[in-house]
Amino acid sequence: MIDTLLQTLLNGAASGGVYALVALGYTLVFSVLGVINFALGALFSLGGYLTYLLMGGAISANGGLPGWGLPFGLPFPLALLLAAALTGLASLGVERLAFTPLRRRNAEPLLYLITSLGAGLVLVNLLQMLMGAEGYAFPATALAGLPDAVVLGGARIRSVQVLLLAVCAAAVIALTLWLERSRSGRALKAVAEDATTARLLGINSDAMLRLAFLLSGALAGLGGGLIGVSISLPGPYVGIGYGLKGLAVLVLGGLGSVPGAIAGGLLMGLAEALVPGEASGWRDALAFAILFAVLLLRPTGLLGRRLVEKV
Amino acid sequence: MTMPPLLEVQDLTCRFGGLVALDRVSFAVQPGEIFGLIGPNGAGKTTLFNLISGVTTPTAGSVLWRGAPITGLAPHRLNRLGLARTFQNLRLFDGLSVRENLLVALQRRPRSGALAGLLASPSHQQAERQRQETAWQLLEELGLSRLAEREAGTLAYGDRRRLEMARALATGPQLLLLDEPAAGLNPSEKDDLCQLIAALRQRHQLTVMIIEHHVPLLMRLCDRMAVLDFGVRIALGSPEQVRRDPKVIEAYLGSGSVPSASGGAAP
Repeated sequence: MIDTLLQTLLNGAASGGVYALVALGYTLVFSVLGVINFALGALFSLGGYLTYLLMGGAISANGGLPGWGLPFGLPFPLALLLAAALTGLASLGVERLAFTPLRRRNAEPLLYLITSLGAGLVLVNLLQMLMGAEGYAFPATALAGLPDAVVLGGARIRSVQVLLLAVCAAAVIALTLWLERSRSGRALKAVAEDATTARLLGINSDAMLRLAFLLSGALAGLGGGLIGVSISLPGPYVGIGYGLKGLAVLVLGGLGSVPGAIAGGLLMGLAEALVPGEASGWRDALAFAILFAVLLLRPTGLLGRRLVEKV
Repeated sequence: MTMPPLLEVQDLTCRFGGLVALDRVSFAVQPGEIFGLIGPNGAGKTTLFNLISGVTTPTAGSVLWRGAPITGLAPHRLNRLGLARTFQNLRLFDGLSVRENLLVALQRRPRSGALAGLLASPSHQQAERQRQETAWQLLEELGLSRLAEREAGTLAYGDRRRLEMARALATGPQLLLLDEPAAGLNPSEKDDLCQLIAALRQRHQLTVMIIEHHVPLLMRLCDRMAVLDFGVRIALGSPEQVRRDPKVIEAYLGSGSVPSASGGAAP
């Protein structure tokens, strides 16, 4: 009984970790720009597919280039990191195309919603044209050398879940340390607090915004690669679902709050894992029920300090 | 060949729609002086600071830094040239600690590459230690060291004013723009502030531009001053010259108060 519970909790924490990555991706951009980047889900998909390709995986018969694959295959950890970095660069591209032109014109925040959603859809459709609409399972060699499961306190836990949790934890800790301890992390926080004042203190707020997009995309890409290896990629739309879940987590934890995004992700993952298998169809319903309940009691989210005012 | 002034504005004009906030304002600020700006409410003083610090772009006219044009440069570029300012309505990073407020401003002193930071190289660590040290010195100098770890948003008003000055100083400016630094302070705090500004100028080799409603304070502190009224510079000179200027007297009579050296602050 205890074993099953431990197993369930770890599974929940693992998917909660991925939710937290996505929510942190939103948080980084939101805290600096005050808007949501709706292309983040598509970047999540991109990260998953890039990881697959970098491991040497081939495009399926229904794809744009049937049978094509990179002439090399990287080991999973390297492929994952490189895919995350490339997704970060793609996120910079999204910033350039969907955000910069509007920012130059001091556009209304609502317009960012449309352009970023559009950029995301374009990205998902490009993925579909190249890779085809059906799912991909990662090569069995992805986790070669890792035992199938580890036994922890009498519970058998898939080692890929442990890996997932470990990578998410490492990413979250690295991000937090960077924000708290580093020069550029402090600069980002300052821009998030008050961009004009930060500029007057010598901080290039445009560069910090690009950095936020880069990191945000990399986090989403990391999530995509991790879901790919632990479950599979059911199709180019895989990231849209995670993007929505991340959005719920973002609101749950409190817009713009880093600890909130982490706590919200874990809470959401654990709550879902506690839904019994036979009622799995109710998982999303439960997730959003929690969201509504929290917002009724705390309109600013679990750890939201205040509603950020950006004009 | 004489040294060019540290800062010069030439025919600076700023319109917001139909409203002329500044109309062909010109003057020069010499290195090392304390230069005051006075004028009734709405005269365009803060607009002038916004133009000089790059927050607003002028409609016409130019700003020169040591003789070179800097009109329309981004605020962070101007700051890196050596220009820092404070705000009338304090703009601290309220969610950050007092020390962090300074560390943000110390970003670029001394410079170390981002890569060095990622690798936590010895040179980066040394730079970081140096920043922490400079932050401490400034906190000591402005009497804020016991509040270092407090969130800036929780400080008392006078401390918040001093923190904003410390933060501006942390960027290593040559020219410091102070927008009503004495607003909301009691008379004894105003005296302290006066001494502080004079001392800071000495220790940091500063040139200071200061907007202040409290005219006696300005008269005591400034080497020279300019008077703005409805966006137009109506007087320029030593405090003594400015006080006797009939245009200044008229502008202040119109708004219901006369500047005097002895007392009676303009409201």
